[in-house]
Amino acid sequence: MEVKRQIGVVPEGMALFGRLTGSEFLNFAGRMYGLDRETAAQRTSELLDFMQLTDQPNKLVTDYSHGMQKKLAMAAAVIHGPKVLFLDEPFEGVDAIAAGTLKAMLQGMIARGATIFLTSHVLEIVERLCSHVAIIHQGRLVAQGSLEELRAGVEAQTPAGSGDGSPPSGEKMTLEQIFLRTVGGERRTDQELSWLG
Amino acid sequence: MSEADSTVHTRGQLAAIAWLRWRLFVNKLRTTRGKLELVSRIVASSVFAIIGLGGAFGMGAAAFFFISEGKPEMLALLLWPVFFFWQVVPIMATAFTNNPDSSDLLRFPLTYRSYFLVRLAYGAFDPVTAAGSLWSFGILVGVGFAKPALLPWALLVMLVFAVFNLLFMQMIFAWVERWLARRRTRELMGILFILLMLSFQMIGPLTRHFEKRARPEVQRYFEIVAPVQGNLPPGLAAHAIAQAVVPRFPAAFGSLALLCAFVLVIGYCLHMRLRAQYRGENLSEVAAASALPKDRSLRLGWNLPGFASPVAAVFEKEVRYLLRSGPMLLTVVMPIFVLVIFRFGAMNPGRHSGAFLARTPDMAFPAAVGYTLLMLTNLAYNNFGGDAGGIQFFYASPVSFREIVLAKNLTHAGVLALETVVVWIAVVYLYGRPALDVTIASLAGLLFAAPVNFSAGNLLSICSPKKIDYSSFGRQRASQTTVLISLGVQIFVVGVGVGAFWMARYYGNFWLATLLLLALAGISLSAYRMILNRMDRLAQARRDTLVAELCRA
Repeated sequence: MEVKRQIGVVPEGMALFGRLTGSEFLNFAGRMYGLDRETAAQRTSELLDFMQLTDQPNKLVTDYSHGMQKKLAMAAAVIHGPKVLFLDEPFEGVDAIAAGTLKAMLQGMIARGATIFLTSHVLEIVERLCSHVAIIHQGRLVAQGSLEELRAGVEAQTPAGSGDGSPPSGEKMTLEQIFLRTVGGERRTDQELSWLG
Repeated sequence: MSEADSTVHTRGQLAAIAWLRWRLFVNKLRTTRGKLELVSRIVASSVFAIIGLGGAFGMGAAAFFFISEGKPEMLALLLWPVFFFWQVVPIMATAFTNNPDSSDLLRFPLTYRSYFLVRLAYGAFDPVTAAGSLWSFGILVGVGFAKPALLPWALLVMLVFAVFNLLFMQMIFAWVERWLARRRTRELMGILFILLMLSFQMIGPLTRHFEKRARPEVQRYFEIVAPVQGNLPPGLAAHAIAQAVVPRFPAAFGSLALLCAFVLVIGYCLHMRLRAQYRGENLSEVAAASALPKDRSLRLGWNLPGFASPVAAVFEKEVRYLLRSGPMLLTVVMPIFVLVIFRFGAMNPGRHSGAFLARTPDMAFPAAVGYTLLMLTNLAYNNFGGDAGGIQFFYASPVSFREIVLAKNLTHAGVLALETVVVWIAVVYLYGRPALDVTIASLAGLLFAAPVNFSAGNLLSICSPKKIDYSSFGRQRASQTTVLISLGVQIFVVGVGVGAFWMARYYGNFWLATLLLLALAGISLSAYRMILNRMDRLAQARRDTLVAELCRA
């Protein structure tokens, strides 16, 4: 229980209660994490404002758009001020404005010393946001470390510019390239669909 | 694209749609469920075939009789049932299942004409349409046999009547589809549907009630209704044929023209709906809501004296869920409704259930309380069903399942308490004030039965959960296992209650029942407490099952 009090989680299904309004859900989440009624209500109000979810106070969560639900799930995960946050695909299906809001919040938390674990298939996001990266392939952890450490590890195996899809010398490998080299995946660029212009 | 190319293109699309329907049907047969569906469809089709052919014969004979006897205006008595059957049965059968089949086709470059045709074709192959058409055909044959010269005119009228029915059904479906597209309207329709179903229960008692009224009053209602029906499509079709029998052709033409006007109006309404669909209307819930002024006031959560804050939070959440779920609320209303039905039924000595309560009104309150508890199983035996993905939140939060389940049980106990009060008032009004000793014995029975039900419900909620989709209606709300076990528990609980009350009546002392039930309540409360304390362990052990069942799409 003590560990649960220190962490915030946004799982794949977002763990929302669809038949509550956004405000009711955040209030509920706050109290479940041990906040008193006044604090829960105060933080609910602030979070709704921050996440720009105050326009339709009577709307049920089930009627929210995907992006709004994501923001709400994130708000519920941070209402108790967790030290560690676990996020599953936090930016999937989220529009640019909502993504900006979420990133701002996450960066604020990181600046205050929180640790955030996030999973994503969009490697550009991981590259921009994360200080440390772990690569899981077929259910197994195959690499982990800072981006520089991963890059160095991959380059040590195959020198850059060796003609196997690596960037030319002088350019840094992107996380996508590191990933492909680590898991041994290959992009097919030689085939074309005959009827597409 | 030239017109010839366009026709070929359209024909190709229609052939592709027909092929799609066929493949969907064949692929469905790969599963056992699909095969069972086919069997049930064959049975249903056979039933419809019997209804259609039998009805056609009956309608034909009646039409023949009316025309031969010189009462052609009585054809309205045949055409109205045809109309109602054609329109009402499909709504009852399919109104609460989403059928996005035809609108799914809109992603393809289908012309509006093709889309309209596809919609009509889907409707035309409906078994109800087939039965309705057969009945209309039966009437036509009956009229033709009675007066062969009238056949061409009757054919024309019946054809227009059939087209009207086909378009009208499609129009209703198109609008129903639109309402079902939004959660709120879908739920509202679900409630209306239950009310409609419940209102059928009132037909018997009301008929008996009105039978006692003076006949002239009923006659007066009939005199008001008769001219009105004559201006509506079934009445107009009957009138058009009846006037041709006389013969009074201007009047017959007038009625047919009005019937055609109805066809045009209905066709236009259908066209409007389908055109909106074709143009890609957006019916998502997000677009439907309008922005309201921001509410800056702080809303504090509820407080439940004597209980921890998380228990109060879950209690509040449960109450809000209950208040927002029409079907669940109706479940709560049902005991009152049943009391009213029994009271009306009691007017008729032939009705056993009503007659029992009429003979022994002192048993009305215990019976109603028992029924209330029975209805509560819908809520208590699938505690987490409505939470859906929220179950993950419970697992992630620093709150024990013991507290969560306790809060849920408190909500159900609150509902039970409230309903017991309401039921008591209803019994006082309908059957007379129950004696104090009977009331106390009934409450003691509740004190025994509620913990038994909550204990069994808590165990089954964890071990055999089933996701509840509040926005759909008519689906099973608990797993098959839960239904069976809950039935066993109810038989046990009701058996004990009936035994206690029977003994009390036998000895003429209801305090005996109170004592016995209070002793049993002590045992059931202890068992409840024991099971409640094991909730965390059970929930952790069943975590995968719960999450997999409740979080599935």
